[in-house]
Amino acid sequence: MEIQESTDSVGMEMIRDILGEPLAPGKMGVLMARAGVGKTACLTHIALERLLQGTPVLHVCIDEIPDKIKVWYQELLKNSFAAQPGADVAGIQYRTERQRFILAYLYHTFTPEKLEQSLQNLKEQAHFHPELVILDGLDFDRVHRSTLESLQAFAQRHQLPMWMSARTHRHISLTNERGIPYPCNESDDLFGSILLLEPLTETIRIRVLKHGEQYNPSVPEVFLNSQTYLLQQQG
Amino acid sequence: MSSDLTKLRNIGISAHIDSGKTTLTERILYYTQRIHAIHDVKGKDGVGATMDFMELEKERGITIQSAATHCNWKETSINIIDTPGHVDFTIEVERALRVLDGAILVLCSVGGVQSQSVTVDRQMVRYKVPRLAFINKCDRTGADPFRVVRQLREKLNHNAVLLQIPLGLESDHEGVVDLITMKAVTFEGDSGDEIVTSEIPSNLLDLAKEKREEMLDAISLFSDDLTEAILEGEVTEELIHGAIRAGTLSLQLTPVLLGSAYKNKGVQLLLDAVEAYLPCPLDITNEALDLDKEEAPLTLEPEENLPLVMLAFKLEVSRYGQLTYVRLYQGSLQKGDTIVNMRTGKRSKVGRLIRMHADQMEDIEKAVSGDIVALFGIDCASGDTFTDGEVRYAMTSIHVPTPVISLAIKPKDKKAEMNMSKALTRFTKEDPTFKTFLDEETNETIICGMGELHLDVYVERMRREYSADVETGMPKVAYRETVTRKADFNYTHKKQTGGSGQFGRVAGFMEPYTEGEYSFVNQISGGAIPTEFVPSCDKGFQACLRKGTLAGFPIVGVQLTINDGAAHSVDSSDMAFQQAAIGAFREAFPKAGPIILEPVMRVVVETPSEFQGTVLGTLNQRRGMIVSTSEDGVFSTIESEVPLAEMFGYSTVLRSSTQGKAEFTMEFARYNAVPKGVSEEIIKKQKEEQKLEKK
Repeated sequence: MEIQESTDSVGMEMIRDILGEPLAPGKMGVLMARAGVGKTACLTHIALERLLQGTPVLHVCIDEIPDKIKVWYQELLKNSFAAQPGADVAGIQYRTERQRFILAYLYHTFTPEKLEQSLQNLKEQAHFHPELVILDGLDFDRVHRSTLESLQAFAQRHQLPMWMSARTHRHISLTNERGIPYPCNESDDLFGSILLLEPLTETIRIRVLKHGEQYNPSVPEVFLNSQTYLLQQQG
Repeated sequence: MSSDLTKLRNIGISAHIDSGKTTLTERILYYTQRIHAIHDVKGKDGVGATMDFMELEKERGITIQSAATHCNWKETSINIIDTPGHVDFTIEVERALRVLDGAILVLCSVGGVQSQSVTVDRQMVRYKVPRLAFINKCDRTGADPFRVVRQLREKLNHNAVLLQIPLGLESDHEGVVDLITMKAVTFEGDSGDEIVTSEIPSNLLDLAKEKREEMLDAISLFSDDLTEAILEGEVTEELIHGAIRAGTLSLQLTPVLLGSAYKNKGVQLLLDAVEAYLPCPLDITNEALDLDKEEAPLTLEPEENLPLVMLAFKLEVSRYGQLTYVRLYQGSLQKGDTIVNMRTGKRSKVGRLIRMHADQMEDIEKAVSGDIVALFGIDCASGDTFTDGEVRYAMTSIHVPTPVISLAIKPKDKKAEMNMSKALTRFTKEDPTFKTFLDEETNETIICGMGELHLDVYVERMRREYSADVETGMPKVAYRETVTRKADFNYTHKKQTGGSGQFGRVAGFMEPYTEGEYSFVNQISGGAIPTEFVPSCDKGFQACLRKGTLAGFPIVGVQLTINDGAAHSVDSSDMAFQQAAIGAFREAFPKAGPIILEPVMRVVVETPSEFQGTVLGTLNQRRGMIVSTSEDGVFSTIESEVPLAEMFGYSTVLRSSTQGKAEFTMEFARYNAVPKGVSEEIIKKQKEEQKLEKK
């Protein structure tokens, strides 16, 4: 694919470095962090890397309007290509947008059933067949395990990898025996990958808490630039 | 009127179609005693609301043409521009916003923030217009102002704060609870003239206290004094008003008021809010461009004794001739003054100075900076700047989109032909997005605009206002041609047919150009083409832009660079080099990967969620790229980009596939390459049409 050849960026390499191959179809991954640390940015980054390879992505945002997500994509794309002055960013943006679909559920109206219905509509009516789902903004404090199980079933049924975000809290230090903090401490078995974003002074460290069946695997450290939200190898 | 600028408000009333803004304006005029009886839009009495003065608007129940009107509320003078609601007429909304200092965003308590409100709000953001929100129709079944406030926050990103809560909803809607005075307010009498305040009913007291806390919490950000007073428990109404005003002017707060204009509830309190929170001309900074200093921007001061600067923002034809609405930004204007049009340099004398009240007018002697008035007998176009001749300033040009659709029109008889021409001259002056020209090949008059409805309205206006019956052709999409890669040219034009010959050689390359429609670069060195013939090459290239060789559409986005050539001391001429350039262009264009571009529209459909799939289907069938959908529990908002060519008749399709429950808005997004299969069809069709035209 034309985009892939020219734009497989360093970020993608780094994701591969820490996770090996990307999340397998039918598996769920979760990115954990406190409010404002960069969960949305990081999820958008994962999506963008795949979009640049020509993979169709369904970006589901909960209680957030699509326009805000679009801005994230635009900014990340701009930052990703800032070092390449000749790059046709507008053209790349246009091509990635054609592979991307943003689905928003406002006013706490999200349910796995609605997601199923929307995906069906998209496949049947719009001929859009995503190969990756991003689910941002799910309120893990309120969501029952049964909802997460339904989402897991959804991912398996459609053979889609699905990345989510979960908000941790400064005042809740609950962590299970496998080292997974609240709010994923009772549902870590459902996830194929669990990453934790930890804010440092200048950057954000991405810690891999679980990948595949392995907890706390030893992988190279990767950081998120807190200004550009791009991945980097130095802290 | 008062010449105290702090007591002047220039406001617009802007909203989604059918959210009741015309009714609201009508009530405002009634309570400010500009009119003495209330009529409704589509009223049974056949009179119609005062602001909807065009016949067509009366029939459709929508407001197409903005009308300025003036009224007084208590100590304050208010100029109101009633702005149109349909997106096809957004140039009118935009022009109105350009001259306004503040606005009321009217929302329906049932429909809430719909796609149109989003469009209109985006425009207000562009022109940095502070606004109040009025949630209308609280008497309607299904009214839920709290939901609308949430939508204001979430869909429009407003820091929306309720200043009132409803005193009953739907058929029980009686008035509001004012969270500032903590009193219940009802509107008694046949026309709601009598304002009665009473204690808050006990069942609403807790809610009122809770919402007042929320309000104080939100507005205290804008006033340290208020924050202190809250801590000390000494909050005064004055402090609250001050904080709300500061927040509103900084565009960081949207005060929300409630009511039902139709049932005469809440309008007077809205007027109080306009007076208290919306800016006066002194609160707004207006910039102009100094034409003597290469259009350097400068700030205008709303001082009476400085040189006059005013903007003609709207033209209308009235029984007595052309009426020009102007906004004064600096200086003052008196009857008999001479003014100069900065675009044409033409001087005119101000014969009559008018303050407009819908279609009635009041002669005045003088207008001052900040005011909106109308003049008679001034020849100008919409958007022209006038000064008194002492300065050469122009107000910043307003954003005017390029027309995307055209229609051939033919007068039915001789009389219609004369009238049509008059009408077209008028319309093009009034509306910069409406253009007209004569197609020299087909000898047809073509009108261009921003959408089907936009052109429909003008065709109907021709019939009604000018008795010009015209036949219309099929609407045509404004396709363009462009190139996708670099291609070299080296062309020699040589003619020797007795007498002096013609000789010119032009070499260089053609390439895609993204910054504009056309660019010409001269890289000739050593005089390969004599300097005097370089402009001839440019001229020759430009002549080729009018009609591409692919399908005959205008060419855009192309840069031509000349870097070599040859001339003959006797046979070279301006004409010879123009011909050489034309030959060079024709040589390079087919090699430069020419493609057809088509206008793509941003189409936003709002539909009850159960029809989401159906609507996605209708858009997909139209080569639409669906960008996003948002669900709010009741409605789905689907955003897509669809080629204009596929949008003809979409309203009918949408209506029939959603039981009439969905609606859509459409605005120009960009030009995109046409897919190959479609492109071949377009070329074929275009060639057939050209053949027919030749016959």
